Amino acid sequence: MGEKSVASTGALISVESLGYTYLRGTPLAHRALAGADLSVSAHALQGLAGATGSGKSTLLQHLNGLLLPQEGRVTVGPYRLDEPNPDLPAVRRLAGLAFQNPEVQIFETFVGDEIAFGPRHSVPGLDRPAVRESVRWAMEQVGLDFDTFKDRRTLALSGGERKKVALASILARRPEILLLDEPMAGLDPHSRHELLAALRRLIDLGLTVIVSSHQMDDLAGLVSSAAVMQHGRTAFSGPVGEVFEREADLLAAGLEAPLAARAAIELRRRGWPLPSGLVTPAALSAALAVWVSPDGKR
Amino acid sequence: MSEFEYLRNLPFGQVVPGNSPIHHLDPRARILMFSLVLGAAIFSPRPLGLLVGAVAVLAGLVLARLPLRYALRSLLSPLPFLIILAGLQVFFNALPDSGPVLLQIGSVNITPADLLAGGMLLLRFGVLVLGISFATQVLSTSELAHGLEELFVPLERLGLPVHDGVMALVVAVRFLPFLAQSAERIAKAQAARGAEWAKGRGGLLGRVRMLLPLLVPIFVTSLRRAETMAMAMDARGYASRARPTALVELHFRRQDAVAVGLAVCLAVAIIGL
Repeated sequence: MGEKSVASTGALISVESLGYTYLRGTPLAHRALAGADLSVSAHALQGLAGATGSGKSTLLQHLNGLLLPQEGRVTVGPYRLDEPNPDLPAVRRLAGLAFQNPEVQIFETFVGDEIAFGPRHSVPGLDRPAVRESVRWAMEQVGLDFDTFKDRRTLALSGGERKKVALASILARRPEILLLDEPMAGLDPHSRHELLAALRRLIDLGLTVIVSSHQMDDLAGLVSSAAVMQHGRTAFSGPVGEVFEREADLLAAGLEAPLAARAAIELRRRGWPLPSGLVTPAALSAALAVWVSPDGKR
Repeated sequence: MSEFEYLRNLPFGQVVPGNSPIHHLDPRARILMFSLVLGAAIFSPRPLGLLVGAVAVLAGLVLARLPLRYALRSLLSPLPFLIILAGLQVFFNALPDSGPVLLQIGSVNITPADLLAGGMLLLRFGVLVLGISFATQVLSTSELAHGLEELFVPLERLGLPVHDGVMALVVAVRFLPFLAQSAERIAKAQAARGAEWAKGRGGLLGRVRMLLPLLVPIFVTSLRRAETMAMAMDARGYASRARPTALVELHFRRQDAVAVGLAVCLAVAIIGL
């Protein structure tokens, strides 16, 4: 995307034994992260799985410098966030974060202004046509029609549209890294489908994407590798095919393996010689089709 | 340390659960004690009484096993305003000039009595801020609502809407932390999209200018939240016509009476000394 190229070797994002306590030094202190690790290479599609309160959001907010590390190391592109005085505007330009609840992050009255906030505050400043172009481009990426939606009131949007606006408002800044906190939560199947399609398009554009979710089915069809968070630390991580088959470990982390993975495990238990790593309905059906033909004969 | 943790500097309206003698008192006793001591501190005419009030509040904090540093931090944010107020009090009070003139600026004479008046204002507001922060730390929403209602029951006979009044008050108090939180969220959302939140730019005026874009969204989210809350109350059949029975019955025991007695003595001392 932008002009700045990121070192092609090694991880684009790396987090090592990150610790963070909210309201530190008060009686209400709450330890949200205690030893979180994460490593994401450029153009990767990383899932961040974890139950509510496992520290996903806190970790994501470290990756664009909204929170600064209290313990451990965080590196995003060329920037070290655990060192004094990191270049925060540059980090936030590189990595865009869409929050969990679009309700609390949308603050403008009109959709167009909301999405234009990023380009208007970009450095160096953009002129009006350039801002307009960025807004149009971002809205196209998420499947919102520019002319229909730019003058809509943000209060009048549906839940799914709000998610899209939130996503577009981040995209309008043309980040290289996209951090999505629970993008699928609370969406109906249709909106979810549309959002998934939008995300796949973004991935094709070459962005590095980190998606957090507590729904493994959402992640299974989207990301290629995943890290599982539990009590503020990274419990285990790896390619989705491996991670999402560890049914017992996922349960211990307060999560459930994707439906396809659970079906595959059950079939294997009954003696079906299925290969490992079947975590999406498509992969499972393809593997079954080898054994069963449509007319029911084996 | 995060630049966005507004809540950290707002020890109002945040309950800190505990297991101290203060926490175990009947909520009504706690409300009465706080009202008596703080009320006395408002009307105390002399510095010695105010000192007694300050010591009483600090002793209470220790007794409640609340960290003093956290409580004292509540004094930091209003301090600049208090100092300006105290300065005004020193220069322009209504006290007759008496005693030696320490300093003369134009037609204004500064006497020891003027300095004392300024000091008392600082102390008085210090005691009040600390006391109110203390009260909100040891009184939960339900305790406050419950206790106040029970205390004001006699007024209901006069036809006053006690239940509604108490509910409005409690909601107002508990909205403070919410305001801090929603300011935090909006500030983060704007910073994530390039708004300059770099710390310490442009001094006081710069900080004020940074907060301006937050105001409208905060009002909007607050109003929406209030609307949702009103609907939730309606949905659960909230009405002021009938008094609901309480889940927890309050019992006023001997130690509560002793504590309130102590608070009365303190109040008398604060006003009388």
